[in-house]
Amino acid sequence: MSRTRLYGPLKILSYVVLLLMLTAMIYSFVMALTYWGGIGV
Amino acid sequence: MRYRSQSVAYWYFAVAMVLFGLQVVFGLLSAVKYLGPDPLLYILPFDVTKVIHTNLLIVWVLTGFMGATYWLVPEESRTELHSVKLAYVQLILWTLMGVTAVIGYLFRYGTGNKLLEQPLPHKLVIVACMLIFLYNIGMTIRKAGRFTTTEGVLVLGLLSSAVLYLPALLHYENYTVSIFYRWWTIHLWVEGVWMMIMGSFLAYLLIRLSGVDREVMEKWLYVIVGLVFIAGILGTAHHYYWVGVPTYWLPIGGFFSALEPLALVGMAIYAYTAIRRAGLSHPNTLALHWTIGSAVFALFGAGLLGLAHTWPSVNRWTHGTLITAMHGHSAFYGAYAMIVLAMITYAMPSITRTRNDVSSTLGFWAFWLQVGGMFGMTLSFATAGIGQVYLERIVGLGYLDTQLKIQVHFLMLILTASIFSVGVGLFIFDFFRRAPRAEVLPETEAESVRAGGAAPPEPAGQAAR
Repeated sequence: MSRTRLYGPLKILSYVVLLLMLTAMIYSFVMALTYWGGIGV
Repeated sequence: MRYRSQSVAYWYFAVAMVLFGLQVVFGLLSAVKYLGPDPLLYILPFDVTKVIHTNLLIVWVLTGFMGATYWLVPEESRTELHSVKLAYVQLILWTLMGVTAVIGYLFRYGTGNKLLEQPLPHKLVIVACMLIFLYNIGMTIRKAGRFTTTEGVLVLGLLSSAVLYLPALLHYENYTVSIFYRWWTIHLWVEGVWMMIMGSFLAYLLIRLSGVDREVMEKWLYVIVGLVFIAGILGTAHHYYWVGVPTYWLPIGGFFSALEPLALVGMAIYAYTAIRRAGLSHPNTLALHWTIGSAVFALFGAGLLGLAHTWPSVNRWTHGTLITAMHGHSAFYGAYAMIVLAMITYAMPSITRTRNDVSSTLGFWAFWLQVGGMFGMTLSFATAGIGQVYLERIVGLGYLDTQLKIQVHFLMLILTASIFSVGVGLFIFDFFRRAPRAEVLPETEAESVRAGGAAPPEPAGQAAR
């Protein structure tokens, strides 16, 4: 397989990473909103 | 690109971008743990996510350095790389090492030595990769018989990085001795020889982007490297405060690390002067943004924010608090992440089948969201750190009580880290939407494409090569 053909799978991998980043962001927002009321200030 | 072998840089940059994205994921997971009860406590505890976050940083930045070197050396020495095959073997070994190390950390397979957690087999692979890399670069330069000052500083930086990794191979039972030698690798990398690597990339980019006389730029590069060495080597002692070593390290660390910002001031002036002389006429304005941004942000994060807490009488209060995280994030991002992103942005029109949009709106959004987000993250860490120092070190509250009081700053951190993450995501998306280019362009066409002009369609016969 030529190296340029590796581009396709790598592009899919990059989308998976972008999806993981989005998931981590949503998770952190959910946690931030969940605990907002519990801040001990 | 002028030389076919330069295309190897694309794959290094691609791996670096994937790892950069993952680093951000583990950074967010680490930050959110400060907000309250952690649902992932028994799956991904803080010590695991933080180790993966910092190790991915080191690996992706080094991958970027290697890719940028494989791009730069053929152009500076005006020849093809000695062995493209070796470069790919090195990349495969390096990636396998990185991926298996991260999987290992998930199961707590590591040495526990902060920032050098890689197990011994992984460390040996790192040494092998560095040897392959240096051999390939050395043979390329030898074959060409052309060795520029920019290349010289770069190779000296890379060679010294490899040598300074050797103390990391040793294991010490005594914690003080272990810390003492750990900084021979980590400090002398990031505040010593990596600055040489950054300086040479900066010089290369400024020469290409501003068109300023090479002789002048390279002369100043020597001055900057000299300043790095004068201050950086003994500046290591700012990591020796209160770790169990004799007290004479306090004034040595204070004095020499206070001098460290000089080199960064020099770099910022260097970049500003070059652009002031030449103007912003280069069409690849996005690469210019990343280049100047790196010099300025490094001065802010590594220089000023480092100076802010490096003196022993200040550091006795701030040592090991979130003030260190404030400095660490902005320094690493400005000095190393941004210079790698600058090299990628500069090379992108040549190594990809890009359209006539190298300085795309998407690229500028990626730049400003990252810079703005990181600035906000730095302020969040700073405000949290100041509160922590006051409550914990002066008022005398316990660690966990203090964390409850400063939680609000972590809401700000999550918000600004999300802005930063969107910027990183856009950069990754912008990079991967362009397919790699396999063919060499004629000299004039290469210049035009690098400057942001339209690229010709790739011939069908060459696309499959």
